[in-house]
Amino acid sequence: MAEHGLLQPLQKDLIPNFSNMDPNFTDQVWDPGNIYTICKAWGTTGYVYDTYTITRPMASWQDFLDAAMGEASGRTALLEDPWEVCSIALGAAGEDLNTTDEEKLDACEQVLLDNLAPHVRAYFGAASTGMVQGGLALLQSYNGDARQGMLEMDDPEQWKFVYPTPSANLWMDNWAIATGAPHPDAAHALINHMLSPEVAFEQMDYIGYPVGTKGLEERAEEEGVELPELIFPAQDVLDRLTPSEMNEAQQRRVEIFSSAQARSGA
Amino acid sequence: MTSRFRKFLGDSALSFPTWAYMLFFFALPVALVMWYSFGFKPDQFTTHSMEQLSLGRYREVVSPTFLSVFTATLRISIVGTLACLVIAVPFAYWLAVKVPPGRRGLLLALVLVPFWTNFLVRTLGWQIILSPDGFVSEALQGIGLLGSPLDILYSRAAVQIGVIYNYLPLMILPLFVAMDSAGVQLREASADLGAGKWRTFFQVTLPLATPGVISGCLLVFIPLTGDYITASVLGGANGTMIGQLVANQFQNAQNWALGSAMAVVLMLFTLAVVVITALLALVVKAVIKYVGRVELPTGQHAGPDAGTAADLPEGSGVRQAEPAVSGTTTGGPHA
Repeated sequence: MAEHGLLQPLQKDLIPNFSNMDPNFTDQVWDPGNIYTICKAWGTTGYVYDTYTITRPMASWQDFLDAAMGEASGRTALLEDPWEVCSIALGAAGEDLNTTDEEKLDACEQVLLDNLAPHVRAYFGAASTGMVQGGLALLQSYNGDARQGMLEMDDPEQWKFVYPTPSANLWMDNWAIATGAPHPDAAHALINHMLSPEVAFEQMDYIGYPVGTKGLEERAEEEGVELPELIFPAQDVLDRLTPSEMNEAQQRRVEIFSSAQARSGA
Repeated sequence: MTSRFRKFLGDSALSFPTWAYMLFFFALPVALVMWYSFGFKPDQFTTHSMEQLSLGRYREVVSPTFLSVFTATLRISIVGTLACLVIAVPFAYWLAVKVPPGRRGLLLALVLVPFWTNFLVRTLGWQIILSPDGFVSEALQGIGLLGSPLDILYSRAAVQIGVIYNYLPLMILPLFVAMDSAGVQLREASADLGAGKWRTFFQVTLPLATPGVISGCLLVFIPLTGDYITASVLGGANGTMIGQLVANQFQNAQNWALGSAMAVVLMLFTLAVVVITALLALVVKAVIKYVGRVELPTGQHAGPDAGTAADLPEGSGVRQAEPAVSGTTTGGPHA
């Protein structure tokens, strides 16, 4: 977007609270030096499963595939997102999740269409609805959505979230100001406000995702926020995640995703 | 000022709001979609480019995925339209014929009340109703009709129920208007000529309501085929509809050219289905007319009376009432 002139550079002197940001979430590959963007919230993708239906230990994307084709057949839901769906098969095969390699994507398509898709019941934007409405046993999910779904449950033991190995998406929502925005001062003031420690904590408590400022995890512990392990993945999890890229293979991913949806419906 | 306005626009000045609406909210958007469909997606950050026009996107559209989803969509639309028709015909008849005129307003208002709520919210409501943990499921299990929790949410059956619910008022309203305009006089005339209630319904009221049936079917079938919300909310994988494939191209792939081509193909396919159905209906109508025709004796009565025999049959009775009635069914002066 920046290359196409759609964003205006941020004026850091108007955002003094930028100094509150955790260095883990600044200076990312797509925007070195945070010229255009500041992290708004971040999270990762994994899956939740019903421990009464699936009793074996679950850790990897391969486990997800096995359970979907086994105990959870017909009761599995995937995210309504081409990159995320492809990452299941690519992850299980141990490939780079951002691959643009034709052969690897062909193999990914084959696994998704022939093995996984026939067992899939639904494709969701957010897993929490599917957990609450019942009838499903295995759902690909963002960590915060899974947490929200679990907080709605009467029986906290029923669901378990997995940060799958070998890797999964490390996604980040960002603040940015569009070129030609009529009130850039107000926009800067809003971003600054959102990054103040107090507001940042309220934000996190409300949306269930960390907003990328320093000291949030400690604060969450102090305040006794429920299920903190689903907001803050451990360092060893963080280390193995892959930030998703919008690359030239996106069209191919949409094609695979549409075919998988059609196959699931056949 | 007014006269200049009228001189500029001619007699259509008064219909300005209507044709402006059609132009800006129908003709231009459709033209734009058609135009985009000849373009291509140049790179991952650009949605479309019109520098090189081609039919390439149309070749990409017609894939097995598209065709299988389209077939499923068509099945949902046809079943949905027929179900709406079957439910709406008795209801509209009851409303137009049986209900005292004083109460019709209230009942029509009740038909319209769901429209005051947002389409998406109404559909989300069905998620709760159809959920395996929902009250319907629990009630059915409670009275022993179901052995296990209800298992239709996120399936084609759920989409089918959702679309029938969402589009039913669009079928009831034109049918009600058409049956209402058939008028009490014609029904009385039919009864005077000896036809029973069923015969009057099938040979007088329903044929006169044909325009309402047609517009109701079109109003339900066409938007239903392009529906995207009901399928997304209730459908799951098994109830995927073609609108979702178009949305995938616009939103996920950011490929407006391919998305537009899909939309155009969808419009053409929908049009083709409507045209084929119309042709079939014409054939059926012709067959009914041929089978139900009344042969008039020719030759021996060849006199000045022969020409008027159809309008003024000799004698009386049920049998002879038929020519007059079938004259109405085939689009006589009342149609």
